[in-house]
Amino acid sequence: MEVKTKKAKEQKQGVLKRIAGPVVTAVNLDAHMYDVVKVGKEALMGEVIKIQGDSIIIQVYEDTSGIRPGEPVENTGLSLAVELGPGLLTSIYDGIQRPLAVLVDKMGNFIERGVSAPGLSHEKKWTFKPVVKSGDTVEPGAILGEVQETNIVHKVMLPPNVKAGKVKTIKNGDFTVDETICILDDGREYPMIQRWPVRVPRPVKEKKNPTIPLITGQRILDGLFPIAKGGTAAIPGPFGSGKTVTQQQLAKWSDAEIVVYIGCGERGNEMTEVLTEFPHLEDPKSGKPLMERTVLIANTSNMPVAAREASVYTGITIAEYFRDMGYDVSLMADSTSRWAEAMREISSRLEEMPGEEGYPAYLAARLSEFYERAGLVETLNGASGSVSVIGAVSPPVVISPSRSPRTPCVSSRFSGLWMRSSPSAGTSRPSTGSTPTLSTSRHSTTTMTRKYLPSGTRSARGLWKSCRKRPSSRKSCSSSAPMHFRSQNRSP
Amino acid sequence: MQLVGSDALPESEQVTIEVARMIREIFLQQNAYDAVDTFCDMTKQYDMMKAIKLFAELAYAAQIAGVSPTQINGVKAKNELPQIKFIKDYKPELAKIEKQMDTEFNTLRSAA
Repeated sequence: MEVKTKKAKEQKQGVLKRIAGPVVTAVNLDAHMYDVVKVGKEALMGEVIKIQGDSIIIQVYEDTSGIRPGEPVENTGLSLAVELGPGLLTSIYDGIQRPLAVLVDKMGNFIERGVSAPGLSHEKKWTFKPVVKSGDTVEPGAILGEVQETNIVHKVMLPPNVKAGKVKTIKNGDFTVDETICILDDGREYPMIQRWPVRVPRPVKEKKNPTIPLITGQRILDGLFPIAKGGTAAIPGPFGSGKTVTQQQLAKWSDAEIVVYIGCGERGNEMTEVLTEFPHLEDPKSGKPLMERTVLIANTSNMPVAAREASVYTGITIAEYFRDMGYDVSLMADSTSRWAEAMREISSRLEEMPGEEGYPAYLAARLSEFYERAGLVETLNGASGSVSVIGAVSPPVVISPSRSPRTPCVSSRFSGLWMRSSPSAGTSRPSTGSTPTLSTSRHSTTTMTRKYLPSGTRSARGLWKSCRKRPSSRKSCSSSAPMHFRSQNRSP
Repeated sequence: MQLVGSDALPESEQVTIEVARMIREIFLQQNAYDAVDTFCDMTKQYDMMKAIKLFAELAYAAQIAGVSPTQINGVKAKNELPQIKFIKDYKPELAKIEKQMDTEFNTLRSAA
């Protein structure tokens, strides 16, 4: 999971001082930005996201309930990275590349805290066939050999961040990912595995204009809105409109060779659908199960928020790794707005100045930084590869006609909660069963609006209008009013 | 149009509306849960669009020849067209439909 970036002498223990949900503060800790730390007695994984004087502010990738100030914090001195190598395909990971299948074996269906598991299997042996000979000069990113991983040929590369060198020995045979397969003449040894920090884009030789269409097999996409290999696309839409289905269709049928599917903050059953369906589906080209070219990253809505923020980066780093082999990769992020909401949650815990709708002011920068990692490129080894990013965008929260700019953003978050927790989730109509109590607390004038509540079957919109006509009541029908009508209208 | 319905339009435009409806309902609408229609390769997309184009051309020609839009909308081959979405080996069926379309329009034109 981690990459060695700093010397061991900088590792140090600190003490927890403050805990606010997934964001905790430690003192007496020698840390750098984006260092991975172990928080508390249970050694929960976290990442340094802010340093303020002596205070080290950490986002924790696991639930922090039961943690108290005074507990130790240990800096690993490493940055958050993913393990890249044979064994990625067909895997199902959580947001920080812990293989869920391995975790299920370890502890059953629900993940406990403080557990760690390597992203790749370190026991499994892979048959490595070299493509370079001893005496060849290898540049960073050069392909050293091949491993037949499922029906996809996994090309084992020299990491992109090392110096070029001459191959002294290159091995042939069955190896685990940790065993050395290549020795350069200056003594450097390379195994099949490489680690890459998720927040750093993998380098490329050149970024090209995306000109090749991504054939999706979906008439509406191919016919009206062609996506280029290496392009980016957003799928916006209300609840239940088929964003997820569209993305799953793209994951199943688009002519990308590798698919990375990130289930980011969506419901668990939607992810289950993907997990149960994919192994049975056939690739229209190879006839093999589609799962064999797929990497799934699941961070469902009941998983920790901080890991959701990381899941998108984990996914795109894996996608970039396959791109570097010369494959066309398509990355599905479902949904990017849940990702933005995760950023918002972390940001508000950090007490940062909020931007529009409470999202952090750097949201746009983060989004474009992420989408910049898509593209059709010439890789370091001269091959052509692409990462296409297709992100779903779930709707924001209820927008009522009364929503004035003065409405505090916190109310929109509450209404978002109502919608998501409603039993009718999946339809576009918000059910606001629990509205009255909450809105009463926000607006003491609620009782006044009750006078105009429906006695018959008039529509909520009509009522809203008639309500607005009365000048005396106009003021009282502030943002809570239309929700009231809706909830009243729906009750039998 | 949405208010008064397509009957209020000139006849040639009623044909356009009908062709647009076919593009929407036959070409664009796709069933992700159908074993065949879940994936549609480029050749099939092209053939489907070509069949709709053939209908459009025949329909405009017939309309100019004096066939009423109601008669054009009543062409049976048109209703067969959506089926090819769900047939894996669609080519023979599509050829049959196109031939039937041709015959039907010929009959309509000679009657008008």
